[in-house]
This record gives sequence, structure tokens and C-alpha cells, in this order.
Amino acid sequence: MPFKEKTPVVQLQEVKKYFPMTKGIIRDRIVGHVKALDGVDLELNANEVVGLVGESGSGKSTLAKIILLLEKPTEGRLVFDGEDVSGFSGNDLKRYRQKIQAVFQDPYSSLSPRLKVKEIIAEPSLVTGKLHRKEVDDMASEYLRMAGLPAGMRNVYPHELSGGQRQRVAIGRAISTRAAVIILDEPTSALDVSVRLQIVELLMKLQQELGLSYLLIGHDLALVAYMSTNIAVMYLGKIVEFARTKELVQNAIHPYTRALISASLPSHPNEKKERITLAGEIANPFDIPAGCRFHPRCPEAKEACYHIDPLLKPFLENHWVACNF
Amino acid sequence: MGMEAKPILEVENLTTYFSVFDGFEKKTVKAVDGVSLSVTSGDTVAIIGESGCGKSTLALSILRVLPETATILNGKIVFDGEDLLQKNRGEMSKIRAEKIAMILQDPMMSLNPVFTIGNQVGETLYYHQGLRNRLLKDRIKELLLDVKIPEPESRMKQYPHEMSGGMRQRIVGAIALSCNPKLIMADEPTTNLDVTIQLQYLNLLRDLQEKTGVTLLFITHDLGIVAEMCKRVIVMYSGKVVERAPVTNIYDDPAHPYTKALLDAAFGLQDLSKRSPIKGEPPDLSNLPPGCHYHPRCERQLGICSQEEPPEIALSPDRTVKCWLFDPAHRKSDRMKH
Repeated sequence: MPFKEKTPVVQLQEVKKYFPMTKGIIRDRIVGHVKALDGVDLELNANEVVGLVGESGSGKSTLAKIILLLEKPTEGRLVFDGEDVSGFSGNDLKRYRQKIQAVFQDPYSSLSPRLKVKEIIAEPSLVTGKLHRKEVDDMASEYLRMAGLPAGMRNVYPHELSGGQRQRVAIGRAISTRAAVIILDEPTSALDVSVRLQIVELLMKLQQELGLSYLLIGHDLALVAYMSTNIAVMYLGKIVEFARTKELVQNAIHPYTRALISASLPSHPNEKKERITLAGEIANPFDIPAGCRFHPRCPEAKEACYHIDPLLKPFLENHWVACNF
Repeated sequence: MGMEAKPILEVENLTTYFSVFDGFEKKTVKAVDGVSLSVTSGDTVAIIGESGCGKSTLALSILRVLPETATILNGKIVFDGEDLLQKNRGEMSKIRAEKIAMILQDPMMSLNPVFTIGNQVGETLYYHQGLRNRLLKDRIKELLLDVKIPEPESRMKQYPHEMSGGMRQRIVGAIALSCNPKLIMADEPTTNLDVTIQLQYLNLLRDLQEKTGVTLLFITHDLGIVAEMCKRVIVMYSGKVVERAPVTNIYDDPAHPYTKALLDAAFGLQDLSKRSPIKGEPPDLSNLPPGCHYHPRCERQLGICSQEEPPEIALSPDRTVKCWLFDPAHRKSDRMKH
């Protein structure tokens, strides 16, 4: 997906990730593959928030793991700042991970209970260099302040903090390496309603101030649309639609995107809308339907959809759709 | 459901406190503090509020399945003409099996991993309706079909881990329905489900309500579910009811500043304009602020708010609010100040 005027920070080119399914006593017989990602192209530009939506099992989290290089792609290239990083290991990998950080869904399990807050925040930097105790203190104070917490909290353990405060610590850790890209994997879904928006505001403020790029993974379309500049919709390991947020919400083309939008709940009881209820559930990525992978649930499936797997094609400027019609 | 519809559930001045020991001293956590409410038969009611406002404790108090640290100190719970607080364990167990069902947030937690689906759906049918063999099996199949589980014959032999989250939640629904309850309480029933599956599930509950006339009580913080499903709303804050109103009133013209703050903080796909977060965090229920519990976070507080707790003020026959702003005397003095 070429954007002419912008420079992509992260590029995924035809990325595939297959997990082998094994059988036998010593699990030595490969009986098939779970196709978690099946040819994904995605670009993340500087200073941009790309939202990634789709049902559970659509491959959103695998995509995040590939970008973080926690998993190596089976096929395809991961390009960061013009450099192919998919084969990185050792020191190169450490260096790369300074540039890409993540904030996860559950701040109760993503912070080590044995480390003090200052050690949590300094840990990514300690991986690549030594810091004096004083430097660790200063660093923790600064990033805590940026995350909206008092500097005095650097000496406490995570169990003393509330969910919202923990998520702020996780955000402080993510920005502490001056990363260019932060992967946000459902950053607010474990939080309470009142705290949720506070965290969203903090993330948006930091994005503006530090010029960060976010890849925001979520299943709450309203929240993703609130934060993102562009939205990519995933279904069974493929991106089926990609567009500017406003365009996508008002002018969705793909039947799956339309179903997702129509399934999102109203914000007023009098808001009546035409509902597309999808039959059934997402297919097993072990056994992806032939033709268009969405056809068994698609309300508009035609003969061709049983045979032809549609490619992601430009529909309008900055609007790509993978649908036969 | 005419105007003469009778209340199926009436809670009067219910007070449930937890007593916890935090290592230094004994603390009293006022989870539910003098809550009164009335639910009409066949209605769909939402209880909304942040975590820790006491909405789940209220549901557990109604079912009398509170943990040992909690005690119901005061109040009356009249369900279908019977006072539940006067019942002994056996009678209560019968009511839970036959009249009130509960759907919880996480279906993996509410299903037992070592029993088959058929076994769990059939449990109440076996013990409370005395169904056996063929009759039992047929009824289980019927229930699974009711909640739209295809191929019930083979599904009933499976275990919860063999199913997806949406299917598990529908199994929980089938268990809830197994004895034709009069009231279903659903505590965040769709939080763990995908949006498309969430809509399927809400439609399912709505269909079942049309078919059986069951009363639905949603306990949630998701205003989308409230707008989609509910007719009446009860807003709770720190163990107390702060506003109750028909659903359209809540969205068009919220009275209590807290209700308004909740609405301002909710995301909607139709309106991507800037939202404003609720300031601060919910209060510690063992150390509540004096006066109105919401006053430290309130943007419209008056002098009296930190001194005295506001009374519940009736705005119309079916609408009340617990806020000094609606007290005629204080309203006037407030206006004169400005």
C-alpha cells in the first residue's frame, strides 16, 4: 500500500505465519498448518495511529508478535525504517526492540510483581547499557511524570497500584526507550469505564508530543475509531479492508466491515439501524474456506466467491478492499 | 405487559457490608448501602455504575450467595411475593434453581470443566424437576436448540473447552433457562465476546424474553448494551442508587452529574467527537467522603454537598435523583450565588 507523501516506519510485505500442527507420540508428524497470517501487507507511517480490528482468531495478536519479532514470519518481509529486520537476532534484535515497544491488555500480568516501578521502567534500557542507581531514579521519575504519576511512585511494587496506575507504568516503560512505534494490544479492555478514557487521553497526548506511531489492536470498534487515523480490518489472517477512519465508518465496502459496524451497539436507545447479523462464528484457521475466506458467513456471497480468493485492491484513494464485488 | 403489571422483585433498604481485615485493623466496606428498587414483571432493567459501586454485590445479595465476609445487615427482598431474607438454605436453593437465574461474565468460570455440557444443562432438571433418561435428554436437546446450538445430540457429549466463548456463554444461557425462571440477572454477560457474537447473544436473550416473558436484569457498565436492550435504568454510585429513570430520559437528559459524566465518557461509533473522562477514581468503600459520596469528583457541587447526604428527590412518577441540585431550596440559593 504505497502512500506517496509519507514515509513508512514499519512495513509488512506479504507476511505469512503458519504454525505447524503435529501428531504422533513425539509430535514428529506435521498434519497441517494453522494459517494465522496468510499474506498481510500493512504500512505504519510516522506519527500515525493505525487501528486493527477483527474477531478473536483473526490473527491480530500474531501480527503484533511478528512486528515485535517475538515470532519470525514464515514468509514475507518485515521492514523497519527501510531495513529488512525479519532475520534479526542477538544485538541487532536488542537494538530493534528499543525502537518498538508494546503495552498489553492486562497490567496485572504484564508487570513483574518482584520489581519496583523504577526497575520496571528502566529495564528495557538496562538490556542494552548500564545505568547508575541515580540515573535509574531520574529516568523513572521523568517517565512516571510523563505518564501522569507522581515521581514518588518509583519505589513501590506493582501490587500497591490500581489497574489504571499500573497501565500508566506500562506506558511509561514503553516510552522509556524513546521508541518510534508502540504496539497497543487492547490497552484499555481490562480497565474500568472511568479510567479507560483517562488512559486513552494519555496515550493520545503522548502520541502527539513524542511523534509516536501506534498500532492499536482492539475489538471495540468505537474505541479504535476514536483513536486511529486509519483502520485495518482483519479476517482469518488477511486484511480485508483498509481506509481512513472516517471513510471506513461512513463508507465501508466489505460485507464483514459492514457487519462489524452494524453489530456495534448504539449510543442512544432511539438509534435504530439496519442490522446485519452474521451467521455462525469465525472459521478455524486450520481449515480456511476455499475462495473468499468470508463466503460461508457473507450475506452477499455469490457463485464466484466459492472459487476466487479476492486480493486487496485500491477502491478509492487510501481505501483498499478485498472483495470480489 | 400493561400498566397494571406487578413488580416481580422489590428490594427495600438493602444494606450489605463486608468486614475485611487489612493487616492492621478491621474495616467495614459498605458495598450496598440502603438500596431500594422495584422491577416490574417482564421488564428489562439495567443497573449501571463503575466497578466497586456495589452492583454485583446487590445481585449476589438477592441470590443470597454472598461470600462469608459479607453480611446483609438490613432490608427486605421480596421476590414473587416471598421475602427471600426469611428463607432457609434449602428453600433458597430451590428458588435459585427454579425462579432466579444468573449469567456471569466469564463462561469458562461458570461452567465446570470436568462435566459434559449435557450433564451441566441437565443438573437442575434432574434434581429439581425430577426428569430422567429419555425425557431428560429430550429436554436438554430442546434447551440447546433454544439457545441456537447446532447438533445438540453430539454437543451435549462435549466438554466446555471444546467450544468457543460465544457457544459457552449460550450454554450458560441454556442452564439459566432450564427451569423456566421468572428473573434472569446477567452480570456483564457479553464482556468477553466479540461484537458480532455479542449481538447474536443479545438477540437471543431478547427472543427468549419475547417467548417466555422472563424479566431481565442487566448489571453492566456498557452503555451500549443499555441503549440496545433496556427499558429502565438504575444508576449506582458507591453502594447507593443515585438516579433511576426510563432509558430515554437517561440518554436525553441525565439528571445526576454522575450519570452525565458516564455518558460523556462513553464511546460511540456514530459520534467520534472528543469525549471527556470522569475525574478521579471511585471512592474507597471503607472510607467514604462525607455528604454526597460523589462530591469530590462532581463538577457542579454546592456548599451543602460535602456536608449533608442528599435525599432521593422525585422528578416525575417514574424518575428519582439523589442530588442537592434538584432540591428546590438549594437550587434557589445556588442561583442567587451566581
